Amino acid sequence: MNFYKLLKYDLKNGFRVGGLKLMIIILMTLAFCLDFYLRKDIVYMVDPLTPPGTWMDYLFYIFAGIKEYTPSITEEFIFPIKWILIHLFILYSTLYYPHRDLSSLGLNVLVRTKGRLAWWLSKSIWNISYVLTCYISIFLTIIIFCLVANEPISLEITPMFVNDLLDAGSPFDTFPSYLASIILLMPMFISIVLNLVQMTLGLFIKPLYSFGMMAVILLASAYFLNPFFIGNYAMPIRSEYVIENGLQATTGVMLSALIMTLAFLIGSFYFKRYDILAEE
Amino acid sequence: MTSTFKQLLKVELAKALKNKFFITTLIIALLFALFSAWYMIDLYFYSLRGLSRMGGNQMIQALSLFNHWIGGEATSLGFTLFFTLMPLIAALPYGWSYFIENKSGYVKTVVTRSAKTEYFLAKYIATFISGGLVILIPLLINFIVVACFIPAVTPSTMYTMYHSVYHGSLWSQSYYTNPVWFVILYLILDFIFAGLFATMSLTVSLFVKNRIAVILVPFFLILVLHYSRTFLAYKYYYEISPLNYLHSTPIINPANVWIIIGQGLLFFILTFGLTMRLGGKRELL
Repeated sequence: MNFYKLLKYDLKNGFRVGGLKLMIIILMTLAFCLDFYLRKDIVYMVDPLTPPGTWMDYLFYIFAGIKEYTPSITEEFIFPIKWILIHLFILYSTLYYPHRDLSSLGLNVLVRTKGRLAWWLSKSIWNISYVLTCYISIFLTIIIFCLVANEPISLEITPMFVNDLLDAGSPFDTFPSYLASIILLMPMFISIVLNLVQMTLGLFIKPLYSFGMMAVILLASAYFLNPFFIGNYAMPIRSEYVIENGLQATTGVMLSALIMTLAFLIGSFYFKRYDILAEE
Repeated sequence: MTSTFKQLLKVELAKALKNKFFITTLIIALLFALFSAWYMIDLYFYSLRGLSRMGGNQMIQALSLFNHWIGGEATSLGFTLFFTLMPLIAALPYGWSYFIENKSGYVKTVVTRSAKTEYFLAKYIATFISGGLVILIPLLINFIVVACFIPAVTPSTMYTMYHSVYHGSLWSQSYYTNPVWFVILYLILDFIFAGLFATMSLTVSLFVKNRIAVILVPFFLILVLHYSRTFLAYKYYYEISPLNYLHSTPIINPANVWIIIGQGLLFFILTFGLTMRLGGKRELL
C-alpha cells in the first residue's frame, strides 16, 4: 500500500470516527457564543445600547484563557473552563483513532504499509488535519452565529470587552491588528502541538494517562505565566499586546515548532521498534 | 445476600483495589496532594516569618491547618489538579472493568455461576469503593502531612477573609466550633461523590464500545455541568458544580445542601438504576 492510499484511508476512517465529536465541538461553540451574547446584555444592562460583538470578539472570548494568577491565601485560583473544555475535547477527539488503528483491521494495514515511518507520518498528518478541521468548524460556527444574531463579522477587537468581559486587566486602550492574528492562529497552533505530543506519548504510556498529562500541562499553563508552559501561548489574554509582562507569539511559535519536530521524530524512531502485537 | 454474592463481592473488591491502574492512579493523586501540602507548608512558614517581622497582632487564628490542607486551600497548583481532575482520577482505577470483562468474555464465566443482578451489584459496589478510596486516601494523607507542620487552631470568624467560610456556607457552624468534624463531613462527601463519578463510567460502559470514552465521557459531563454555571451568573448564587462544592471552602459561590443532595441522588439513581436495569436485562451469553 503506497503512502497516498494510506493517508486517504486515515483521513476517511479518522474523520468517520471523529464525526460525532466535531458535532459536539460545534454545539459547544454555539453555547460559548450564546454565553458571550447574554453576558454582554447583563454587563451593559444600564447602557442605552448593548455594544455589538464582532466575530473576533466572540473568538477572543472563547480562546482568551485567564489573566495571570498571583497565588495568595485570600484569592482562589479559578481555572478557565471554556478554554480547558475546548482544548481537552479536541485532545480527546484525536486520542482514540491512532490507538484503535494499532489493533484489529489497522494491523493489517500496517503490515501492508511499506515501512512504519509512512504509517506514523500518515497518522500525524491525519492528526493535524483533524485539529485544523475542528478550528475551521469553530470559526464557521461563530460566523453563522454572528449572521443569525446580527453581529458584525469583522476582525476588529472591541477594547471595552477586553477588561469588562474578559477581565484581562489590560493597561492598553487599543489593540493592534497583530492581536487578531494571535487570537486566530496561536490557539490552533498550540492545539496541533499538544495533539501530536499526546499521540507520541500514547506510544510510551496508556492513552488515558497521556490525555491526563496533557490536562496537567494545560492546567499548569493556566496557573503559571511562564514561557516554558506552552499552554500560555494558546491564551491570547496573556499576549504582550494585552498585558505588559505578556508573552511574545514568536517565542511560542519557535518553541512549538521545536516540540512538534521532537514529538514527530521521537514518535517515528520509537514506533519503528514498537511491539504492535503487545498492543493487540 | 447469598453466599455467591459475598464471594463475588470479595473477588470484585480484590480486583478493584489490587490492580495496577488503582495503584498508578493513587500514586498520581498522592503526588498532587503532597505537592499541595509542600506548597502550603512553605507558604505558612513564609507568612509566619512576615508576621513576626512586623510584630503586633500575630493573627494566630488566621493561619491554621483548616485553611492549609488541600480541602481548605484554593491557592496551590496541587489543589487545582486534584479537584479539577477528580472525576477522571476517580474513574481510572476500575471504571473500565465491565467494558474489559465483557470484551474478553470473562463476564460469561461469571454469569453462568451467579445471577446477572448479583454480578452488576458487586461490580457497582467495587467500582464505587475504588473511586471513593482513590480520592479519600490522598485527602487524608494530605491532612495528616499538613497537620504535622501547621497547628490545628480553631478558626475564628474574625478572619473570614482567610478562611472563606461565611454565614450561610455549608456546615459553617461546625467549621468555627468543631473544625475536625467539618473536615470529616467533607471527607465523607468527597468519598461519596468520587464513588459516584467512578460508577458513571460503569454506566457509560453499557452504552459505548470504546474504553477511552468509558473513562472520559463522565469527566466531560462534569466539566459541561461546571461550565453551565456561567449561564446562572448574576442570577443564582449557590454552587451547582461538584468540582467546586466538593472543596470544603467555597471557591466562588457557597454550597447548598439541597443542591448537593439533589445532584447526589440524581447521580445515584442514574448510575445505579441504569446499571442494574440494563445490566440485569442484558444478554451476556
